[in-house]
Amino acid sequence: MTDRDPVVSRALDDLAVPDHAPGFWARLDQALDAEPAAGAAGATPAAGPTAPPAAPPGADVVDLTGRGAPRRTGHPLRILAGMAAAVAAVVAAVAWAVGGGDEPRLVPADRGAGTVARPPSSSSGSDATVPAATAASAPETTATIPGTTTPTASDPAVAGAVPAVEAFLDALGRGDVTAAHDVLGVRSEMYLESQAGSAAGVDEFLAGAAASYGAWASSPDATFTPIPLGPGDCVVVVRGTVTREGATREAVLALPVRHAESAGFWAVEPWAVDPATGARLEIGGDLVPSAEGSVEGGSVPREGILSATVGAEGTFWFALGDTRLTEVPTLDGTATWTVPISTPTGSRVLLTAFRNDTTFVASAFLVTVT
Amino acid sequence: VSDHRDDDLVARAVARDRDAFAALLHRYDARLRGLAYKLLGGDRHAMDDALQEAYLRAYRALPGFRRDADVGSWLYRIVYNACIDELRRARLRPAPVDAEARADLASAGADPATVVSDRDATVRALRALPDDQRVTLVLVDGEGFDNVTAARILDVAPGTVGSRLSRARATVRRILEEVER
Repeated sequence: MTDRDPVVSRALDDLAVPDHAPGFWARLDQALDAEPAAGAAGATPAAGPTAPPAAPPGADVVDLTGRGAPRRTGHPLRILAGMAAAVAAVVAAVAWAVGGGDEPRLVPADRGAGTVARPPSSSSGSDATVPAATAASAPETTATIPGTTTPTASDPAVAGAVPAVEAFLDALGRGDVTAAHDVLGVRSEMYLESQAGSAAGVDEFLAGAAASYGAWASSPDATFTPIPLGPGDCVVVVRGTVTREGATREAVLALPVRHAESAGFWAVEPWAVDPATGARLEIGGDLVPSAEGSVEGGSVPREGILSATVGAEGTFWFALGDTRLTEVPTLDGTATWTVPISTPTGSRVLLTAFRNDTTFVASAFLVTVT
Repeated sequence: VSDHRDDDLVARAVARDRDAFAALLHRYDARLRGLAYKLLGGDRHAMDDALQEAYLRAYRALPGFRRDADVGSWLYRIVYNACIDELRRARLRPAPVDAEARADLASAGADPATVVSDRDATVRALRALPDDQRVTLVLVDGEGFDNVTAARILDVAPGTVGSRLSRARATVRRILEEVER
């Protein structure tokens, strides 16, 4: 199917494209000669990339750009969390596998599916706790990946998403800004350029992200779970042990990833935010922040209500240690979701994603379900 | 080397076989040149600069290339990104279509000058477009993507693609018609 205009397309087809200027290939040869020898540019990826900036330890507010200074709200029920961005979406599911103990583990996408532990049900009657007005005009829909298997990198819908994230994090980990830039999505690139004021500033920004995202490159146990959000869109959740600023801890990260139709190519969109409006994800409601005032390490009761906003209208998706993502459209800029009573207690990953025409962000935090 | 299959060439290129890498580039260079030339408004120097950068990026990124991916599409994406970067860097702006140039084109004779003038007219039309309109036009009318796919590539709403196309086509048609008179 094509939408080509016959006159314009004919003109473009007939356009004689000139060959390269003399010396083009010689110049390229010289440039390639100057490239590092094999092993440098193509260094073996570190054990497992990872790297999230979302919520630095102790921070309760993280600018969505990933570089803003954390700030506290002072209000226990409104916690700002940093995010990334991209576009598109539909629904998906987070697949969990019980990996010993009572703590769910994200299944490494590149290792295939594992046993999936799914709660007997999701929402159901707990929706009664949602304010009537919200429940009426902002209906929730829940979708689950067909079957009960964990999405894997070999699934057509998500193949390529995890390698893109791995490439991005690994590149930042080894300080290869160019390689990181190569898998950076257009939306993020545009946002960074708008903030940096120049194309060169994008690379500077990426270099600055090495300490946060890049730290995941040396994680010894990072696992990657692709969560398809409809054709060509995905959030990859990364979980593992990360060392930053001398402190080692378990952490999670959610990165939006988008498929470029033209190239069969996945691009990472950590900063796909509308430059005109910016975006900052706020998570609140019944979530009790950690002692440091952060979403990370906080707690939320079963049947508690979580609220989220980025200051714009769109659609949110929530998941809390479950195989399901629940889709909730915003109402006056805010989406609310009731934690299913069936949610197992204990430490769980709270995943939140948001999308509209200009912004797509996702976040993941370890919280305790009580 | 040129007779080898893509995956063979990729495997060798990943191992830093420069001949194999060069063979890959030559295999796709014509299509990639076309994309870059149109995206960059018919600026040959900008085209070469963008392709130099793109081919270098490809070489650097080869170790991470997934063998099951299509190398042509992969190169296409890299070139597209390099062109977008080039547009931003160079702040390429449409060159106004001045009356003198129009007169020259309009007075151009038939064959073979017509070929030249037609090409120039298309180039001038491309240059007359703002970057966002030109990129949209090239993707849909030049590369054959449908509006929805172009919207996804450009990361805009399909309606935005439609409106950009509408304006861009009107401009291009007007310039082409002026040349034909």
